[in-house]
This record gives sequence, C-alpha cells and structure tokens, in this order.
Amino acid sequence: MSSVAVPQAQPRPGADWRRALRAVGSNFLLRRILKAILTIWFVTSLLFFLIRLMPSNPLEIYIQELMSQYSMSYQDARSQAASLFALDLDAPLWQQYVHYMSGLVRGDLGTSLRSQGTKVTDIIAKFLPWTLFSVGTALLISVIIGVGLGIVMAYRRDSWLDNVLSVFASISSSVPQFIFAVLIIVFGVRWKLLDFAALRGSTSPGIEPGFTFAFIKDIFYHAWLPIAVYVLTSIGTWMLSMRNNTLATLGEDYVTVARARGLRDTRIATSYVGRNAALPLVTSFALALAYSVGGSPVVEDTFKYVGLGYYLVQSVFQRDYSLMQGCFLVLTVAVVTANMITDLLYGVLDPRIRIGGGE
Amino acid sequence: MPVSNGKSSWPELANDVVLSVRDLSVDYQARRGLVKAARNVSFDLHRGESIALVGESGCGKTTLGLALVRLLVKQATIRNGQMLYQRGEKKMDVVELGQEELRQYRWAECAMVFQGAQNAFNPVLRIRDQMYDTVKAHQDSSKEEVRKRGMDLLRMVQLEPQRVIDAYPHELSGGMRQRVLIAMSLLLNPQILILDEPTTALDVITQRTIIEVLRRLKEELGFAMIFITHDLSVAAELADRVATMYAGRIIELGPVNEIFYRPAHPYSAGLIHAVPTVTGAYEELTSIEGSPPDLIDPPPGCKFHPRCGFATEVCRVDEPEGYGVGANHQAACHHWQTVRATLTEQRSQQRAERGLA
Repeated sequence: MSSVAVPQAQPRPGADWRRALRAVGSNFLLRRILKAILTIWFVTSLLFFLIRLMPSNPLEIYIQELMSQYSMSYQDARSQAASLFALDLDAPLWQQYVHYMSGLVRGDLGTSLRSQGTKVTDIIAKFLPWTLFSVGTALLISVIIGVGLGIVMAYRRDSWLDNVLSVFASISSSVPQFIFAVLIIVFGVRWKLLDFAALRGSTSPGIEPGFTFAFIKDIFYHAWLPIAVYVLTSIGTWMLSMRNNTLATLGEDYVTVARARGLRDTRIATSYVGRNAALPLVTSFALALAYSVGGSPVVEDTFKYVGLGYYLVQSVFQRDYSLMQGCFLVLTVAVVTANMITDLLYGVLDPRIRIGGGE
Repeated sequence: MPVSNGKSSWPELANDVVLSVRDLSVDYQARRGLVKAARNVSFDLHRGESIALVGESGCGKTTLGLALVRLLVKQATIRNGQMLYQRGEKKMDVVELGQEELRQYRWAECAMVFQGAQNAFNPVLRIRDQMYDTVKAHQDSSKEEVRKRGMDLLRMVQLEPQRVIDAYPHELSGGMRQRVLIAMSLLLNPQILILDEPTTALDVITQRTIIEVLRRLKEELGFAMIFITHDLSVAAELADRVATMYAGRIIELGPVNEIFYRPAHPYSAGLIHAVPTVTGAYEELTSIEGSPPDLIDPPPGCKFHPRCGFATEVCRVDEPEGYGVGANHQAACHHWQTVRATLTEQRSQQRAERGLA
C-alpha cells in the first residue's frame, strides 16, 4: 500500500527552486542576508555611474597635472598620460560596468589608475587597519566615558556638575572635527607644544612592526592627535543621549516599583535603569563602528595620518575611479553589515523584538 | 525627607494593631506654594483587616498610599506625624527609618501594588528573574526556592504558573500583569498590602477575577490591606472599614455597612449617591456639585462647605474634628445628625414613591 504513488506528491518541474525561495522567504536570517546583498549591489551600481558622472576624468586630471608641473604642451602630456593608463575610458559605459561587476564577484577590485600595477585591494588592506585602529580606539573611549558621564549627569540632574558637563557636551557635539584639528595645530605650533613633523604618518620610519612595547608606543604616538579629535567631537553626543535616555527611564513605573520592592540601588541602576537606557544606543554604536571604516578624511588629511580616509580624498581629487569605488565599497559593506548585525542583536538584547515576525 | 518629631518613646499600641498612622501631613512644593496633600491623617490598621480609601481624584489617596512606603516624589515632604509599625518584637516608626532600614521594610513588611501594572515590570527581564531580584534583595534564597514559591503564588492568583513564570512582561495581558504583581507582592509574606486602584483600566470580568483573588488571598494569608479606589462597589466587596478622604483629610471612617447605609458626612453620602446600586436598591443618581478645593489655598473652616447643602455659618469658620457617630464610626461634620436624619427621610420617601408607582 505504501508503495502506491500519490500523484500530488510528485514534484512538478520548477518546484525545487520555488521551495528554496520559500525557505529563504520564511527564514529571517536568510532574508536579512539576501536584503543586505541586494543593498550592496544597488549602492555599488549607483556609485559606479555617479562617479563617472563627475566632471572631468582621471586622464584629463593627470594631463592637467603634467602640464602644470613640467610645463608640457597639451599634446605631449596627453600622449604620455595615455600610455600610462591601461583602462580604456572610451569603451561603452555598460561594458565597463559588466567588466567591473564580473571582477567584483571574483573579489577583484581592479588596479589603481594612478599607481599602475597596485591592486585596490592591496591599498585597502594596507591602510584600512590604521583607520580602524585610530577611529575604533576613539569610539571605544568616547562611548565608555560618554555613557558613564551621561549616567552621572542624569542622576545628578540640575546640579552644577550636570550643567557644566551639559555645556561641554553641547560644544563637543556641535563643533566640527576640522575646527578642533586646526585649533590643535595652530596652538600646538604657536606654543611649540607639539612636533608635527615627527607626528606625521601612522608609524615612525624604520620601526619594526610587531607586538613590542616600542611599536605599540609608536603607533599611539602617531595616532593620539586624531584620536583626541575624534573623542572630543563625538563624546558629547554619547553623553547627551545617555543622559536623556536615563532620565526617561528613571521616570518609568517599573523603576518606582523596583524601589518599592526594596531592591538595592546598585541593582536598580544597572539592570533596571542602565540596561533599558542603553538599549537605543546599540544602533548608534553599530553605525558609528561602521562609519569608522571610512575614517575622517579631513582629520587624517590635517594630521597627515595615512589611513583609508586619506586615500579616499586623494582618489576623489585624482578621479581614480577604481580606488574611489573600492573605498566606497568598503564603507557600504560596513554600514550594511552593521545594520544587519544590529537588527539581529536587538532580538537578543530586547525580548520585545521577536526575530522572525510571524509564527 | 522626614522631619524628626523628637519623640522616641514607643506609645501604647494594642496588640492587634499592625500600623498606626498618627497626625500624618504631607506637602508638595509647587511653584505657587505648598500643596497640602495630606493633613493630620490618623487611623489604625488591625491585623488581617482591610480598609478602603475612597474619594475623588486629587483628594490625597495616592499621596497617603505612597507615604506609607515612603515612595513620595522628591518635591514631597512628610511635615509631621508618625507611622508606627509593629510585627511581633519588631517595632518601628516608618517616618524615622534610614535608607537601608527603609529598603528592608519595603515589600518585606509592606508591599504596594501600583495603579496600572502595565509598566510595573522591567521589560527586559523574565518574571522569574524579577521575582528572584525581589527575594534576593531581602534574604538568602536559591533560584529554585524562589521559582517554587513564585509558582505557588501564581497559581493562587489563578494564572498558569509554568507559562507565566518564564514569560517576559510584554507576553502577558494587562489583567495578567496585574495578577502577577499581586503574586509578587506576596513573595516575602508582608504584613500589609497597599493596593492603589488595583482594578482600574481593566475590563469588568478581569476586575471580578482580581477581586475574588484578593478576597481569597486575604483569607488564606491573613495580611492587612489598604486599598485605594474610587470604585465604591470594590470597596463594598473587599473592605471591612471605609475611610472617605476629602482635601487631604479622612473625613469619615467607619465599618463598611455603616458608611454605606448610614453615612454621617454629606460628602460620603454624595459619593454613594453618585454610584448606581451599591446597596442593591434603585435610587436616583446625583452628582456632587462643584469640584474639590485648591489644596494650596483651601477655603477656611470645613473644606467641603462650598459644595455642601447643609453648610451653615459655623462650617465657614470652624473645621470640624471627628465626631463619634456610632460604634467605631467617626465623621468630621458639624451637622452629622441633621445629615443622617435628612438622608433617612429621603430614602423612605423614595421607597414610598416606588411603592405607589
């Protein structure tokens, strides 16, 4: 009896991929990953065309540079420049796009137009760590101190301490990074406090990389000014958000009830107030972490701290299409991934957000 | 913050009194001046007894409830008075307690079930963890012991223990949360349970369940209860005694049947007449004219006189103290005899009319 074939159970042609699609659709994680990949593809494509819509092109910019530097004629400069550029900029745009995308799928971001033969992935691999190190360190410092101060401000609301810190936080969150950077340089030079020539770059020349005290000291020596600027310009936002979230949470009924239950103040401050007040900051933190990948071009340029942000600016000025595209790709992937991880993390941190939606 | 009244001697208290509130006054500091939210409130709560605090919004009921566990907001001050609490050898004046003693007193001696339990629980912790937090703050206990005790209590409030104890607050309905809070309030065997509007904002059937649950729990566990309500039908079902509050004072206090059938204060009478069929008979509904007085600048004399049909010259000048109007029954009205006579006459008249119709 059991061997009798039931006609309905026979898989119809095409049912396999349909079932697979349904499986993806019903699985939150898979759906989320698919969405992330589509977003990255869309942004990358948009960037591809936007970048090429910018006025001028790498060839023209290089010709202009040659003409002004070596006082060449336009014709000479053009023939010299053309021999250097491997990329055929005259090919139809769709061909360039297909070429770029097929490379991207294989993990090949092409070579930099200006430094012939240097792979874009190599440039990113070499300079991204410095940006991640400086911005990441700064982010950790400002989150830990900022959140801590925010809690103190909320508990000592309207005291002189709260007022002083609020003024500082407002300044910190509203003054742009480059103002701080320029002020540091102006006063550092005027009062002869800092040796900016020695501080240039991300390491001192000739230092041996490794887990040695000398090396670690050296990288902090070169990074401390950018880090200081990042901390000073971002800590205020963390302080103010945490202060306001804590104040809002302190007014919640469950905090009053916790006090009525005779819980100890430390327990209330951590599990009842702190945890609920910090929840909304998880998104901000993840996004800040993602943006740290792009670094701050202005700060890196001001202090000549050579990270990815520095190269981003360079590539934009030189219209180095492939490098520009590569830097933006890293940033896009980071932001999209951070958003995805935040979404997944909230399901763990906040039981009210059920992952999966249905069922 | 409490103001020390300098009295250190323990006054004579009857053995069955668990809490004696004496001359308690609470002010709020507002921009316009002092809001006198509770004025010289005095009453004794006996073991296993339940008192209903009734009155309009803004008459000081919740202030009094919060003062009993010293959870008043920062702007509030306990101006004077004592709250004498005793349990066996344990004797204390709650007004005088320091922060740590107060923490230990809360929930273990006197638990409070708040109005609108919708937000009473930390949204990110499971019920079992919040129960464990509560017990651990007062005594050493293992997670298993707390879980078992918690499940027993959840069963007593007619909830499915297995499902509820591991749930997060948002997974429970409003009525369930209210019952979970009641269960949690009994975790530490408090001698007093304060309930602030325990049935407000719930549907009628859920209200019913909660009243039943409270009645049974009180019988089984024998705690004393103070419950704040503006729903007189709840008071009629649960209370042994009723205290009517007006403008921060208890203006009438007496056994539940006395208050409902023979009120001696025109305000209590007004409250009863504003509610249908508390006493079972059909009577014409009347609302009390006007609104409660300004507590910053209250009228002189009896605070109720501007709204009172019985008011005379003496009411405008002299604030009445409680008159003994029956067994264990006091009312702060100069004209309580007239009030009572008039009410009795009205009632018999209405009955006669209905008889004719």
